[in-house]
Amino acid sequence: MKIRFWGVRGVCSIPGRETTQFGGHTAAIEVTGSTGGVLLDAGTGSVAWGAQRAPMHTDIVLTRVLLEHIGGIPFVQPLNTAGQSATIWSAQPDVRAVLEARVASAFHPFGSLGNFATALQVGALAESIVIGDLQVAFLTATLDGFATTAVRIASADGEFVYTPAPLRDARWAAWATGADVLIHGATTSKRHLLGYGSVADAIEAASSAGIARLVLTHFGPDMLDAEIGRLADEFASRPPRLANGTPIQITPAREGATVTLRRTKPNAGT
Amino acid sequence: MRLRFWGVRGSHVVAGPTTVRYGGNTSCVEVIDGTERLIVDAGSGLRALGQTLPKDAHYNILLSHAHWDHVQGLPFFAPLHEKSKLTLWAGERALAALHDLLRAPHVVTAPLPVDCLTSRVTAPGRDVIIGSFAVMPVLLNHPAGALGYRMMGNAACAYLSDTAPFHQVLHGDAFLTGVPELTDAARRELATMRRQVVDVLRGVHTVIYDTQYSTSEFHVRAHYGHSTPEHALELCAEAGVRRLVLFHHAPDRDDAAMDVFASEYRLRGQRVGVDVVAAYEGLELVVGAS
Repeated sequence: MKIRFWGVRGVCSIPGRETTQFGGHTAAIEVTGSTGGVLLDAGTGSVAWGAQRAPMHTDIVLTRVLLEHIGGIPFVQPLNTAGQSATIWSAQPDVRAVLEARVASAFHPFGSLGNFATALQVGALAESIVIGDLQVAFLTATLDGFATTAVRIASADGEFVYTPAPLRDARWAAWATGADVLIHGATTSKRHLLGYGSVADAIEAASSAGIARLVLTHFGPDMLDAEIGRLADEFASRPPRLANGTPIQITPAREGATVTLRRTKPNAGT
Repeated sequence: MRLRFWGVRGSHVVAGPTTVRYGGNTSCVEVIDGTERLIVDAGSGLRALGQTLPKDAHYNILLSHAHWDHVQGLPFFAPLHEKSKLTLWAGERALAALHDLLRAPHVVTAPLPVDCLTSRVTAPGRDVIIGSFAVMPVLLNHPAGALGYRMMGNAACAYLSDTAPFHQVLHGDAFLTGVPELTDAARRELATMRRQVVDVLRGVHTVIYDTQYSTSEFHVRAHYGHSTPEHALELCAEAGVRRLVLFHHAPDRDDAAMDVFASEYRLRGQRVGVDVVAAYEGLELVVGAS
């Protein structure tokens, strides 16, 4: 199973020289199994993702419906190609209304989801779905009033969990335990940011679930290349440890980087 | 009068090393006349502009329309999360849509404070005074409508983005999948719009114009609602404009391609007596007497 990062920012896209190393696009993570694939979130990173592929069917799971998770949707080629189909999955009950508002004529020439050339479906997430060889499970909780869905994807190669923000939910540790990798939002390194998590939150989430490999993502406006690089160096030299003493390998996500899970071999680096 | 460009990209933000010279932020231009400031459009470039501004002032933003690439920076305009106030000037429909959006849950985690914002309607042909600026709106040819603005202070500039040319497609509310046949009534309406745009541009020194497409791109996207430098140059030459600023760059045109694009149209501008400049983030221009 291969996990590729197309957008690693939370809050908003940040183009410019201060983000050329780790990336300036908002959330988009491509997961490719042996027979199935799914895109996690459709921030502005999803535009470049869509430009290089032409699947007959696209599955997108939205972990939130904030702008940084849906901002790319009107410009994603596989969502606007005649003869193709796509399903946008979300646990948010009003996701269709949110997406319709995103493309309403005042805001985008499409005017309606019905004007996308692709046959679009909006699917309500239950506890799990199956996409090819990928078993996709969900845990939804509310952080500061914003519904957030954590995604756990398993295949014969391994399992990982992705959440853009901490769930702070009593079910978290039991639900996430056993995953090989945790991809967790680390939107800020210093202050509290309403609706988002910090680097410390990400480490806490990994610790509580006993996951020894943590990839930080969903960087906020204060987390530019210099700060992310500083944190990466700090964690490389002094990694925090799980309760059993195992060091937590922490790496920042970077646009274009991949994480490969293979059960029979040690995991590759980002 | 001075212009400072904070976002020059059309459609959507692009990031990465291949677009850092021209910039990947969407439409936002600061117009400064003496001690007065007018911000035109609130694309993602507005966030960086806001970081340079006082936190306890009153700001005026002129919006061409409410398409995302022109408003997506509003929630991230830092002065409004402090003690500042904002007056949004835009067409009636754009204001109504934004009023709902900026207060909607689930758009951003930190919506704008409700009491920071007032709205003022702009309408084609009805000039308004904003501080020391005399502003004349003019109707543009874009899906769901857009307004261009002439801004006069101690000099005159204009911002015309977004707009399609005025000869091939008449845009309205309907979503277009191709170029429809023009009716005689539509031709007349387009001719009127074009005449009004040229009239507004007379006496203007610098025009910022939606030139998203090259000619070849336009041929396959003529119904998307954007123009080419050729269309802009034709209008500027006719109106006697001194300088054309290429703006609202296509998101897939990287810095190297922009260099070629800018160079080609600089030469074409010279042939018709118009200085052509390609906008980039950080560009500052002094607007002279026309």
